[in-house]
Amino acid sequence: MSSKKIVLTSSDGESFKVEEVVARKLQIVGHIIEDDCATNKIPIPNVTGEILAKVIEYCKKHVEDDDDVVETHESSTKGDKTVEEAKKKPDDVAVPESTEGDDEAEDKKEKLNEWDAKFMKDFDIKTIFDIILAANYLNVQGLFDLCSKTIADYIKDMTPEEVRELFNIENDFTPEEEEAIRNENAWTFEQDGKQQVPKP
Amino acid sequence: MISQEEVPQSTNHSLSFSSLPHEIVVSCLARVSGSYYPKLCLVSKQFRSIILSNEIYKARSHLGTKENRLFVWLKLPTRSYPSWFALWIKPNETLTNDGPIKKQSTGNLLVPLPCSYNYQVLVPSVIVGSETYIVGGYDDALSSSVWFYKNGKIHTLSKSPSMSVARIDAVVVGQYPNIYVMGGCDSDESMNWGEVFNIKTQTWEPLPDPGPEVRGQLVRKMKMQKKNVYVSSEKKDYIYDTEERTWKVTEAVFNFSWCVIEKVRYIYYNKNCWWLDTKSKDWRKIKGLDFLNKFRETDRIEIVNLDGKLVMIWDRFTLSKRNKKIWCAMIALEKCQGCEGIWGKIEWIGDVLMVPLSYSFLDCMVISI
Repeated sequence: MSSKKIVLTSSDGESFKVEEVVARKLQIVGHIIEDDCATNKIPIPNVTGEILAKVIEYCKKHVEDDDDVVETHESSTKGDKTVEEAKKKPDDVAVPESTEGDDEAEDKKEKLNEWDAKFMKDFDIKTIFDIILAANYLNVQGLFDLCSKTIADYIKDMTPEEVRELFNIENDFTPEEEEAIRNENAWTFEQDGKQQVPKP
Repeated sequence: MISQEEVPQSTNHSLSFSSLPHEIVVSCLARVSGSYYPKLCLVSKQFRSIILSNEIYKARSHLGTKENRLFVWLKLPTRSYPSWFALWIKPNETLTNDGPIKKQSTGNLLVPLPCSYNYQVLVPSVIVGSETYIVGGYDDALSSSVWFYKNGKIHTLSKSPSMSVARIDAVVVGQYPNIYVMGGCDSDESMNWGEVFNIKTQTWEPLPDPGPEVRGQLVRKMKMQKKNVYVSSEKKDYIYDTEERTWKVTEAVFNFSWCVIEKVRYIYYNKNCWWLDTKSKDWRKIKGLDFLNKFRETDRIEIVNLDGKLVMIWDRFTLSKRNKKIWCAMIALEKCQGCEGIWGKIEWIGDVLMVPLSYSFLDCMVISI
């Protein structure tokens, strides 16, 4: 007996047939399935087909992750989403503890992390934004965390000007305001660090 | 067949970071090390606002992206109260000094709180059992208020009975059911310079007056062992006997700075760093730290565990002798395979702050933020 199939339909009408266990990785879909208030066709009105395909690809790869799946008797609603997210530890940030017998699980985890890195490497910034918005809306915590971490890693290695340019952020400081902040943080810009720390 | 309601998706060609929901921006910034916050403050008003807020520190706590930071407590003659500084380590600048140590600056600095690197100020607090007590004022604000929360959950914060006098950056030590508080108030406050709070009876009582000499000095730190409270002030160390309710001067209790790194105890003593070999029960010298030979026997050196590395903190006169400089060294520790010794490898060493001659080094600690 083959397992149940779920058809997810994107905002632009593209359909994706996936295993129910994969569909449940989209927690908002998991809730719909749990409530049994739908047939096997579920519309995803806020996500395009291009992006939904990426989300599903991630969910298929992470189908065995312990987090992200709606538990059977969990009665959380969309309003509980923030609290729910806050309670979870992101699995791509956690450092696995090494113990005997966990070598196999650790190796699997490492391969999964490599897959994640490769998965994210192909996307441009706009696509990453679209994916993180979709992951946030669909409540796919692992993918949300992965996108957040990817964006964070971009940010930290750039100058403020580069961050603005890459992420299309307007510089809403006046020249006077920007100069004041530069002076305030001058100690981080000096090459030899000899800049006088502001007098306390 | 169920008809699908199609919602037209507007294509936003100029989708930008600023159009992301606020909580997503916070989530991204909370995963960046605080070392980068000073420069990210310059990106936009939104970035700056998030970085200088308690919100991002709550997010870091939730996400598990807290990091260990080294804080130093100094009394500067230009300020009424002692000040907290945080050690900002310049990102991507691990300098390995091969050969003789050059006097090149590392760019690492002690910066005064609050700053963009560490917006939160430190509060005088103590943990007794499952309760954390915040005692008196901080950040240049005097207060006699006492707050506590349970099991590390700040949202259970509640009021506790107030102290008899207002204090700022008092020094606190606790051993159930008592919390001892000293200093942080006027030195001529002889009646209540020290107080003790009984958690069971929920009452404050004054400690006996230690005398004007003790009250006249800043308390650096305290620790408690059995019935004795050991008090280290700027110039001398004292013992308060909690059973006999008496004070006495003692030999320097805090002379040896020590810390534990990966279950090994380390100590600085007499121009060397030592580690305790639990097998032979001997103190053994860390190899490779020859620069310590330049130190004098009277020098005070603090050592702390920062992310598994040994950080040393000390001060030196500047060349002109008109000021002093505070120095830091970060040392990676490696166990020697064959000889069962421990090697220290200097990752960086340099001066991190210039201070007046009459400053006082009070304390230092590592806190996860």
